Amino acid sequence: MSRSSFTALFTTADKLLFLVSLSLIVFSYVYFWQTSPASYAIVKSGQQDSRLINLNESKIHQVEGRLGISKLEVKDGQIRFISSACKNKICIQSGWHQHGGAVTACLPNRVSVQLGRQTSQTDYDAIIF
Amino acid sequence: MGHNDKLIAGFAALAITIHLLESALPSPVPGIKPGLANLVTLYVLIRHGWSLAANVTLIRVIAASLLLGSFLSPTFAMSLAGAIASLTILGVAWHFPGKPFGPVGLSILAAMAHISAQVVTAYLLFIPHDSLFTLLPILLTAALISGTLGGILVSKILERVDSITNT
Amino acid sequence: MTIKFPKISRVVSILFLTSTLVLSGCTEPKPVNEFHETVFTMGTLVEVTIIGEKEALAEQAFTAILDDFNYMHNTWHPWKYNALKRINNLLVTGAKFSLAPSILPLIKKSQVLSKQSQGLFNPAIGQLIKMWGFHQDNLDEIIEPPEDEQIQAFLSDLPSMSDIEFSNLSMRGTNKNIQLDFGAFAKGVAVDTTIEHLKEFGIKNAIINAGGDLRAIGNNNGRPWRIGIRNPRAKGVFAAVEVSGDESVFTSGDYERYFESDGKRYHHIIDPRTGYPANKTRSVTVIHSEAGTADAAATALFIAGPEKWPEIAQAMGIKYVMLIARNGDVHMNPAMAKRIKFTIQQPAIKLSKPLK
Repeated sequence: MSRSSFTALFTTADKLLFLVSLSLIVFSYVYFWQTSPASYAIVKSGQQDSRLINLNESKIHQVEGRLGISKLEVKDGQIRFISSACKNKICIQSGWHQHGGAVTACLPNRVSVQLGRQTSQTDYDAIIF
Repeated sequence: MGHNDKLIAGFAALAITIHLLESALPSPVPGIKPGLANLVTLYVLIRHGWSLAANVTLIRVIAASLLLGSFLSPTFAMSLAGAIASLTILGVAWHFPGKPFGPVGLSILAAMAHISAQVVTAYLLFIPHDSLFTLLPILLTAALISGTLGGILVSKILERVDSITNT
Repeated sequence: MTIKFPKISRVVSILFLTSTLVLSGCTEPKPVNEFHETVFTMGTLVEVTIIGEKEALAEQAFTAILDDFNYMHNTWHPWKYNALKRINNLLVTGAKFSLAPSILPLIKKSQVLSKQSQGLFNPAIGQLIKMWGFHQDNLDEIIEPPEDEQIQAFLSDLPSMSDIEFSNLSMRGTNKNIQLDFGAFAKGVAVDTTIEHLKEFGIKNAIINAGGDLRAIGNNNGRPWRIGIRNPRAKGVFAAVEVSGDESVFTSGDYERYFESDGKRYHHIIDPRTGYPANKTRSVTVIHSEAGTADAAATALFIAGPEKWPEIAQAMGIKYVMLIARNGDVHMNPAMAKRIKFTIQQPAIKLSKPLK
C-alpha cells in the first residue's frame, strides 16, 4: 500500500476527528490517573504552624508539640503516630488512619492530624471511637 | 422475503458470527469488547443506510446473546448499551450535513461511543466504584486503535467489493 | 493552604465544569461552604463542621462555642478551683449552702439519668474516680491501682446522686463520701449546649465531635451525615451509621483511658457496685437525640454488660444500642441492627428484644 493511498483513507473530517479523539484520550489519562486521590492531612500543634502532609509520599514527619517531638509515619495513603513525647502512647496504639474525615491526635502533646475529605465512599463526615 | 429482509438476514448472520468469535476474547473488564461486529454495522450503514444497519445490529445483539445464553444478563446489557450508543452516534454522523466522515471517521466514532457506553453501563449497573474509570483511558486508547484499523479494513472491503461488482 | 493539582487537569476540570453548566442551562451552583475546625478544649480534641453557611457566620459561631467550651471546661472540671470544686467542698459538710446555677443543669439531669440507670451511671463517686487516678485530663503521672481496703471502705458508704437534697435556693449533701465528677457526661452536655448555641446562630447543618462525643444536626448537603466508628483493636473504621435531623452518637470503650500496672490493664469505666473497672464489656455505642443522655447511657450500659443492658436501655429511654462484650460478641437491638453498617466484615449479631 502506497503512502498516498493510505492517507486517502482519511477524509479531512476523519483526520480532525482522529486528532480530537487522541487529545481527548491524553486528557483522560491526566484526568482519571494523575488527580486520583489527592490524599492529604492537616497536622496542627500549638508549637508550630499547621502544615499539609501529602499522604501519597512515604515519609516520616516530625512535629514539635507541647511536650516534645511526635513522629508521624506516612505510607500508602495512610498516616500513624510512631512516637510521641507522651506517657500513654494512645496516639500510637490508635494505629493507621486512612479515611477522609478522620481525625486523630496525641492529646498530651497537643498534636492533631486531620485527614482531608475526598467525598468517596470510604470517607466520613466524622469518626468516633 | 423482500430484498431488504434478505440483506438484513445475511448481514446479521455475519455479524452474529463475528460477535460470537469476539466473545471468546479476553477483556480487562468482563463484558467490555472491542466491538469488531460493529464493522458489519459500518459496512451496512455505508452501503444500505442507517435503518438497515440498526436492524442488523439489534438482531445481532439479541441473537448472539440468545446463542451465548446471556440474554438479559449483564453481558447483554453491556452489548446492547454499546450497540445503541454506536448506532446513535453513527446516525448523527451519517446524516451530518455534507457527509464529512469517511469509513475511518465513522468507525472511530462508533468505537469510542461503544466503549464509553459500556463503561458507564458497567459503572451504573454492576461495578459502582470510581476505580472503574481509571480503566477508561486505556479502553479509549484501545477503541481509537481498533476503530481506526476497523475503519481502514471496511474501506478496503468496500474497495474490493466495488471492484468485484464493477467487473 | 491549597492542594496543588497538575495544571493540565485543572484546565480539563474547568472545561468539564463549564460544559456541564452550559448543558444544565446555566443553573447557578448552590454554594456549599464547608467550615471545618479542630481545637483542643474540654481535655480533648473538639472538631466542628458547619455546612452551607457563610464563612464569616461560621467563624463567628465557632468562636462563640469555643468560649462556651472553655467556660464549661473551667466550671465543670473536677478537682480544679472552680464552681464544681466549691460544691464538692460544701457537699461533704452536710450543711445547707446556696446552689450554683452553673452546675445545676448537670446535677438535675444526672439525678434523673442515674436513677433510671439503677445507679450504674453515678457521677457522685468522684472520690473513687480520684483513687483510680482517672480524674486527670491526661494520665501523665505514674499510677498504681488503689488498695482494696480503701475501695471497700468507700463502697460501705456508697454515695449516689440522690444524696443531694434541694430546698428552695439551697442544697446540701447527705453522704460524706459524695464528690461530683461528671466525666464524659459533662462533655456530652457541653456538646448539647454548643449545638443549641449553633442553632441560635441560625446554623442548620453541623457536627460537633468532642473526642467521640458527637451530635449532628441537619444533613450534609442533602445526604445524611456519615459517621464512622473506629475499631480500637484493629485498623480503621469497622462500622458506620448515617444520622440526620438531630442525633448524637456516642461510644464508650475500655480503650479510651487506661493505665497499666504490673502487666494488668485498668480502664476508666468504674463499676460503682464493685469499685473496680467494669469487666464484661469492650465498648457500647448509643444513638440518642441528646449527647449527654447518650453518654450517660453508654457508661451505664457498659457497666450493665451483655446480659443486663436491654433492661437499663429500656429504663433510660434509649432506642439504639450496640454492645461489644469482652468475649467479642456483638449485641444490639433490632432497630440498631437496621441502622449500623459494618465496613470490614459483618459479625454475628446477638439481637435483643425490641426496645420500646
